[in-house]
Amino acid sequence: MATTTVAVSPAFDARAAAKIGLLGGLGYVFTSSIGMVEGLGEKNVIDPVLSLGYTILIAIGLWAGHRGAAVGLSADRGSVGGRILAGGMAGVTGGLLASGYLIWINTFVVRDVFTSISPTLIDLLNLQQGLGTGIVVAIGAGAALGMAGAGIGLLAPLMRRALLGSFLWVLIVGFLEVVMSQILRELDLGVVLAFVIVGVAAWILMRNFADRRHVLFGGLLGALVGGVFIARAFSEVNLGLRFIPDFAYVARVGGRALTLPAAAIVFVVAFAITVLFEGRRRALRERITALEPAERQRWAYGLVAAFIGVGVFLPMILGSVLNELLSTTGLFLLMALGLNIVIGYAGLLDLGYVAFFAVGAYTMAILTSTSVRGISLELTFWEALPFVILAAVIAGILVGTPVIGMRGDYLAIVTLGFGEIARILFLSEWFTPVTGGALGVTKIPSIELGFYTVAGTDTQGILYMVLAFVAIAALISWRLYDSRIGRSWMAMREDEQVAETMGVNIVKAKLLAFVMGAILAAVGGALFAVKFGTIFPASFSIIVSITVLVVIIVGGMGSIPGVAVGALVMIGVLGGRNSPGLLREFSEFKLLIYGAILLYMMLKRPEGLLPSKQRSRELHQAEALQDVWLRGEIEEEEEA
Amino acid sequence: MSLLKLPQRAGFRFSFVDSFLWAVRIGALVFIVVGIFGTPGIPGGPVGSLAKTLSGEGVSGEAWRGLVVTGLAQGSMYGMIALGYSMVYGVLGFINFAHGEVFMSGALVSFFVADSFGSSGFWDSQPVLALGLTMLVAMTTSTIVAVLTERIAYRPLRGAPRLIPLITSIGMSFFLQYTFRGLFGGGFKAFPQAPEALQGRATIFGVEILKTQLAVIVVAAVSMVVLYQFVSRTRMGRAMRAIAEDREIAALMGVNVNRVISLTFAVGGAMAGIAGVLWALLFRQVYFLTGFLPGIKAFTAAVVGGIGNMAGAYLGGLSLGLVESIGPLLVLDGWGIPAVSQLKDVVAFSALVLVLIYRPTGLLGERLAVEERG
Repeated sequence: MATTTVAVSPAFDARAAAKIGLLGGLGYVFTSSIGMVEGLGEKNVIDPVLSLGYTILIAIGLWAGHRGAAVGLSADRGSVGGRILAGGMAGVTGGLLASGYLIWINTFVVRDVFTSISPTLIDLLNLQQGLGTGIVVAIGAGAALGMAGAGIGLLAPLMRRALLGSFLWVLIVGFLEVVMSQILRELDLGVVLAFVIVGVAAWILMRNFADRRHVLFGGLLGALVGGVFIARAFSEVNLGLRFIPDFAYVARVGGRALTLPAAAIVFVVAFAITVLFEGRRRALRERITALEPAERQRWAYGLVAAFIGVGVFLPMILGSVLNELLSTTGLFLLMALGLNIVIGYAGLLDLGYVAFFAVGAYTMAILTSTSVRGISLELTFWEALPFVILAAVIAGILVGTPVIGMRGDYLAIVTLGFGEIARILFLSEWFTPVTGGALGVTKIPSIELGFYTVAGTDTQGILYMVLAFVAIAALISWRLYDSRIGRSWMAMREDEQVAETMGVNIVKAKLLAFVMGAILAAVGGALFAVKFGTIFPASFSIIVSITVLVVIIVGGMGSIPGVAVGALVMIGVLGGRNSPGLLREFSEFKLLIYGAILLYMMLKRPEGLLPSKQRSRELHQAEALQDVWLRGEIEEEEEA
Repeated sequence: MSLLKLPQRAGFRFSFVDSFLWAVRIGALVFIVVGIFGTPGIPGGPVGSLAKTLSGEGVSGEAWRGLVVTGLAQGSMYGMIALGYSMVYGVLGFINFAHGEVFMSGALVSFFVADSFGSSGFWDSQPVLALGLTMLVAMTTSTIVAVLTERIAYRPLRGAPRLIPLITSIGMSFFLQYTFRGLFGGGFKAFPQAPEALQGRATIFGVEILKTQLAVIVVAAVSMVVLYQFVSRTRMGRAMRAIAEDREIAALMGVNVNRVISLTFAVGGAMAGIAGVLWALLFRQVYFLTGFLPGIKAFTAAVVGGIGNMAGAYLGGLSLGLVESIGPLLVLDGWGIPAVSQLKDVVAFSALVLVLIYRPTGLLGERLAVEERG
């Protein structure tokens, strides 16, 4: 209805703009009432001026203005003034709703029911003044932000990107405080030299031997080994960069924050880079799109080689905090790669995936630990690993067989039931002689590599182990994608009956998917057991299954780079279960955000951030068909 | 010629999956029968707990009757929640995972009303009115949550591939849980004790039962009858059934599909809201995760009873309540498994798996759990 008004006349569609404003106002009420504004109010982004809580409110205001202007006036007809006005109008509407809320929380004591509406929150929203100031600010800031948001929409695309991008960089640098400080303080000459050597070697090899893969990879391997030696040789020479974090961050109550001058520098640098390198970026993109498929393939190999190089040296410079974070991310990535086979490739929605993770962890723990009563096999990690895989295969078949005939949603609930059954059994008194009940299994030994012992507390060593297994899992997934069984999975995912008619053995395909997924999860569980040295049933709740599901959905079901991106974004940034991510301030709202992201992705971008091409084509097939139909290319002969 | 090949492939299917399923069926049957009756002829074998009771040892007959009533009360609530799953599944064909949270929202919000009634004395002086008002608030809350959920999250996804609304509802479930935690805090809320009129025990047919449990069973049964009448007698109910039958044809016949789907969510929400108050009365504590396990159990109940079938949902709920209340003692205890009451969720989920293996349509089912052909 609103769109027709806009299309017919250039008149200002006040109702549409006001509606967006109301949505913005609801955002204000929601984030305040659930405690987000207050919870994040302590964390300063830029030291004295801007806290994270306010940043969220400001972002809501800007969004409302931007959308309000876009909805209130059609893009090609509205004048500059009109659009600003529309944005302001949306902002004021939101501000009015916000003031109503402010009056409500200032007049009544609602804390007995709404626990998050505390005096601190009220002070924050009133800017520490009275209700009057609060209302004036809510409406005034609403109008200003609305207009600013509309203004951003009017900027040239390059300027808009530079502006928003630079601000994002300020936020990122502010958040990466722990990481940046540690890296810069400890950065040594050896790693830098190693990076340079491997980088130069990779460049030369790519240029000259791109079509001779064995020379390319052999040379790279040599360079990597050389790099490791150099890195070790010069590891004592500190580069003395500690003055940078000392200048950039100050300690505050809610954690260290970026100082104003440092924030300004980051902003200006990021802005300048975006604007100055725009031409280059565009040229590069054009060059990439112009590449021949074969050549592109070659560069893809180069990229993989570069990733391996980075993977080898990165754990050396990241420091314990980030290593720990990345190993957690890696463990989830391992599970996600497994679940990606089950859901992404084969289309079987398994919600009890954590059961396989638990089976792997418990098998490893029981076989290797010295603390289990009755059983004292005390195998090493490598001796136990085949049994872990065997247990995973059995578990995969046990769970997979009863559900073969069931369709999607039943499968989901039954697997969820299996997951809960596994957790309760591991916890129960019945299994306590073996699993230790709620106390779990302790004293899980380190991994012996022959020349080196990876203890659970050795973050760097664990990260290397995790990365190695992730690499193997990625290789397996990648090889499976185009294999015969991979294609049967995808055929089955799209239409089981058609696949069966085409000769796909559904039983075999489904069981194999379950078994492959189970193996990857179990290996992840085994590493998890070693990493923590102790496992409890509480570590294997349904939340783990959901987290892994969120990872593959955000990344893009069926796509390996997508799953990797999903793991980095979700686990690395937001944090997994019991492990804070980079944005540790958000830990409390992690599951809320998971839920919101799931909703958003399903409604707006079901194919994920980095989708597999085929999958996204399938998801948008209906739209594509509609377009074709509208163009009149499909006749009525098509049967339903 | 392909026709000639088909039987061979079908033969492979029998040889593995079917034999596995038959092994599960027979194994489960033997496990259950031996668990209940023991192995009377063989000395040293398992002795069923029922046999122990009959021979005068073990659990008393009184305790068994108590377990049955507890199971029925629990099952009545499962049945009421299961209705929401079943009706939504009937009209939209997907599992609304967030329905457990609809139930939780009613229970949690009704706490504040009940709490203020409890402290003002209204709770004890006018028990019927107070309970009625509390239920009204819970029903309203749950209905609003259910309808908003449908409007925001599910309506844009009509006609999307089947897994997409399912995953959306998982997201919605988490979003609602943590929204409620943010709004009302994460701690347990202690629901006031039932009004004095409902405290203590009553004797019915020679069995002493807790009055609260009796109230739960009665309220649930009455709501079920009212709802059944609504769906089978009224115009809107007929529209609902028409949509469940075939949405497109119903739309062609002049049924306002969006409105009826909203109504379905509203009715399911209202039932979940009543169940929420009953749950809070019986267990006397609610918090933001209260809805999770009952939600899954209720879905299980809907499947056990036959999804899409309203009487089935109620029957499934009662059976599931009974199974998980009596099952651990009846079957597992016979095998000498320690602390069987810890395993009631295992029994419930195993029941789900077994029902789907033995009888995929559920007890009164109309729809198939296995992929429909065609």
